[in-house]
Amino acid sequence: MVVTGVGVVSSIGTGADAYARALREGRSGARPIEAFDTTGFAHATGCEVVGFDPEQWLRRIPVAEAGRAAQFAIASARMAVDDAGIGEDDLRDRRGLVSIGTTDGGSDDGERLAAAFVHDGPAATDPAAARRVPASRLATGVARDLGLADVETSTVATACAAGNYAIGGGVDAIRTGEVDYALCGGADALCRMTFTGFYRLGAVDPERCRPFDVDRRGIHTGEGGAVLLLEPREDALARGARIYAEVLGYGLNCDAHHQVAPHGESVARCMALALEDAGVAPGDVDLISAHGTGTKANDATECGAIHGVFGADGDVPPTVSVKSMLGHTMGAASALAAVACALGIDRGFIPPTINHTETDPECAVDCVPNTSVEAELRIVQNNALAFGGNNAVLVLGRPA
Amino acid sequence: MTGAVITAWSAISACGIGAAAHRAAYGDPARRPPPTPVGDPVPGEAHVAADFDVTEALGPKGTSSMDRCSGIAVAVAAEPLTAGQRAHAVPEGSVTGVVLGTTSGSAQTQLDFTRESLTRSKPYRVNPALMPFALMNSAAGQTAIWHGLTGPNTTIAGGRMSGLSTLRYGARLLATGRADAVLCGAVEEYGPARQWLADQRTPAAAGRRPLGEGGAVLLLEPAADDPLAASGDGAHHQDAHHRDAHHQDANHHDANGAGGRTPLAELLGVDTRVDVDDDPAAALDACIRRTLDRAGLTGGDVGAVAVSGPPGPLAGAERDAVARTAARADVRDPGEILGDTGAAAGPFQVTLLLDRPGVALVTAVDEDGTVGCGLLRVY
Repeated sequence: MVVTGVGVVSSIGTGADAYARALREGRSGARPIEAFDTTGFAHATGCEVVGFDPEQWLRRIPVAEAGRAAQFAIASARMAVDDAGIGEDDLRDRRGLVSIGTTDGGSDDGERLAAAFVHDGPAATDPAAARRVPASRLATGVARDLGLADVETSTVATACAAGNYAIGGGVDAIRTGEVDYALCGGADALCRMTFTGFYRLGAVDPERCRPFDVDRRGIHTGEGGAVLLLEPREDALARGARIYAEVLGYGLNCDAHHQVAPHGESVARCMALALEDAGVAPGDVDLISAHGTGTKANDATECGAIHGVFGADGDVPPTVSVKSMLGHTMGAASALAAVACALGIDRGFIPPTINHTETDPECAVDCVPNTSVEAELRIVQNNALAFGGNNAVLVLGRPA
Repeated sequence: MTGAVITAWSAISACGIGAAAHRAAYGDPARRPPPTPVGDPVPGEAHVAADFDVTEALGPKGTSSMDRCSGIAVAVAAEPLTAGQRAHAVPEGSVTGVVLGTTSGSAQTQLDFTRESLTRSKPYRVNPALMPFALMNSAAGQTAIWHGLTGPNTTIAGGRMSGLSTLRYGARLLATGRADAVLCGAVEEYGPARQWLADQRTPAAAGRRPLGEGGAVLLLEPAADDPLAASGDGAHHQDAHHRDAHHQDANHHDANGAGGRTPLAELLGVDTRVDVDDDPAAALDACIRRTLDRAGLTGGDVGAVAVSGPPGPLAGAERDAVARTAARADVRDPGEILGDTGAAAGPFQVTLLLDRPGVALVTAVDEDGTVGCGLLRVY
């Protein structure tokens, strides 16, 4: 099974080409947050998408009926289909799947409604906003806006690992032969609730997001969307499609341990499950796209788990965090990272970990600091971890 | 054929706690509590799971900030995972997954969190323990933590399609070998926040029933190669003697079916569509026909249907599609017993069909434009 199209909305670039350029240049999406009122917070830097025009992407669903995350999902999906060179009419004749991962779904609308409730009580109403809240609108929105009737849709709400979960859902539906293609990825809009929660946990870096750095202090919340078009390799070859990457496999597990602290052994187990599913050995992996949030706990635990699977320092492949550039885009994060992996394989480069000064000995990985490098990538692993102990790891490979 | 069977279930709702309480309420209208008034700040009446208290059910440790969604999920998962319903202990090393549906998680926790942020002296002086419970995957994650389930753990925000979506996803986890058993279900809490959002989404004049609170889970396992062969039953025959023998799930300990457990029903198929033509009845009609066709059955074979009962005119569209495709079936609606349980309606629909052996259909229509059905063979 292969990736034949990608679509991206991000703080560093929209569309495959702009996104690839930004990744190669190591651009930062960080800026003062304007999406919500940040009065009272000592610092509020985030990776906001600026200049996104939903009118440009939504064709059937009125813009007022789609929340910002749904708009990102629809735009990303439409780009992925265009990028794959398939007409939307051609997709309509095939049985498909639309799966979009998200942390917050329509919670940006939900929290604005909540604020109105707090100020004015239950008399404050906004029925249109209330209808945008249910998260199912993300995946269904994609199908409705692309006019796809014969699709199974799911919005996967597995918090910060949701993008990889959604991609995995597409992988399995194609593997079992139940669908002919999958549009899968993730989307999230900046949310005051998420920002406040991470801030309260002391997990927002007041300066810059610097995964694996000895001075790292946390995440920057971000937003965006990413969708990949997956199809069986034979179908892609038959229509002479450009193939970005092969989907080799993925793994899922749950720590069943702690609500917010990742569990190293379980994260290692998830990587092992993914490599086994992909039929590759740790020594075959050329690049790890880490979850790499930039929090003290995540990066140390994740890197420990990586060392557990890959062995001593010399055996660990380059391990980067695109969150250094994009911030933590929540449910979109692993989908944006998966697209970065596919682009890296296709265009022969490793995206850097920016904002890097000195690697934390507790992390001890080559994070490709600050500057991308040219590289022939054969096999790339994309990690995702989430609150709730939800882990998902995806393995992509160079097309045969 | 999905190759998956349902081997155990449980539920929590206004009707009580556990499968037995629900079987009793389903069988006897006198045991179905009417909706009760819920007061400030958002007036209404609802079927609240009044017997369920998070701390009482789970103890004080780790529950002081827990939302009712997560609490119900953790509690409702216990029964199908214990030997009381399962004929044999779970084999060493077997992987159990959790797949739960929701509409948007705990709306009440999200509202309370925002309230704290907006009303305290600093916007970040919120209770940090609330944050993970405000996320939609809290219920599934907590269920895994409490019961030690390290398999795939997935939350699907499917709204009223959650029952079908979780069953399909769970069956696929079994088919691909990612799990040996999967708890599939959904939970919906009651609170002023949910009531307030529901009031806005559908005006009362459009027709909607009181909200209901609760959750139901179904344990999904791979069918044995020949599910009932071990007892010489001849797979899927529906003769009366074996029907009676096989649906007494709690007491029947034959070493047949999945992993030695007695299946209650086989999941024959699930199909969903998106209504892009503004004709939900036609879209559901197409789903039902295709699902029956794939299973080699016709509408005449369907003995019972459980509908999802969405608010407003969609309820009529759902009933129309059922009337066109399975005209002779006995149509049941869990909403009449439990109120509008939102995402949890799906698994409740399935539980409402398990008492009657034969072919049964579950339908679903959501306001977001999705429709679908699931086909079961109840033993």
